[in-house]
Amino acid sequence: MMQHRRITGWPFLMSVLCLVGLTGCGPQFLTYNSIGFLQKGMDQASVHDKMDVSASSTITIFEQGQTYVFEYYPLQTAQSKSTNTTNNYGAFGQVTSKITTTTITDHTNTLIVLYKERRLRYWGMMGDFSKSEDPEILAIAPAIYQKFMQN
Amino acid sequence: MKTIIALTLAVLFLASCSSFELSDANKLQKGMTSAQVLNTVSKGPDKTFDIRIPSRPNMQYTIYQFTLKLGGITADYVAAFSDDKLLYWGHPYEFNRYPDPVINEIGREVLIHSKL
Repeated sequence: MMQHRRITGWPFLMSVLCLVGLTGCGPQFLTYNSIGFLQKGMDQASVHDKMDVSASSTITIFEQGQTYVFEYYPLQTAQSKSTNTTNNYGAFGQVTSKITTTTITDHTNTLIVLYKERRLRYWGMMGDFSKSEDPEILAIAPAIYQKFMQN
Repeated sequence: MKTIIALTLAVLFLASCSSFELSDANKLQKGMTSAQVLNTVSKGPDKTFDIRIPSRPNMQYTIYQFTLKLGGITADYVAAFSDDKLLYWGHPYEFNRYPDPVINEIGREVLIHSKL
């Protein structure tokens, strides 16, 4: 029989801090390279296993006599950096020190991952669905668009 | 002699500064030759290799693998040629979702070959 021992005091606090630290260091979004593994026909569970982040929401629609499920994921599309310098002035108006701050901004978009019968059917940004070369995707794109705009 | 060295260094410096960006990707057109692609883009591919796909073992596809610069981050970007004509280009995930199974297969082989 397994015996459970309650962890208290410093060990407990350290465990909590480690957990918070590990969670905080995880990726916040997908990248173009991290979604290279996606293949048509993959089952939903395999997609979830390999995605670096969880879906922010899941929506089910019934279109063209079929049930489709789609998920939203945050995707990093670019990163920009800006530098701002602020001068500190002394009593006689002279610059006494300068503070330079660098801000890195991650630009993201919503990646939509579409499943049909729990199998991966298509993925991309909303615009990719709306102008898809795939007739089935193009046909259901307006329904996805409607949900996308409501979100 | 000094002028030649200075010019060579300047060319090398400029070449190292250039990058393959979305504006380069937008200049590509289906059917371009590999030479035309190289003349069009600001920076050439990091890797060039040939692949074959299981459904068409007699066909050879030439792959140019670029590093796409997106501000502070980079992403892999691939151009595939068949008979020296540009067939398809994009991120690997774009190859995999395309309706043409040949493009899907090329995407898979590129991932295997380059371990992207």
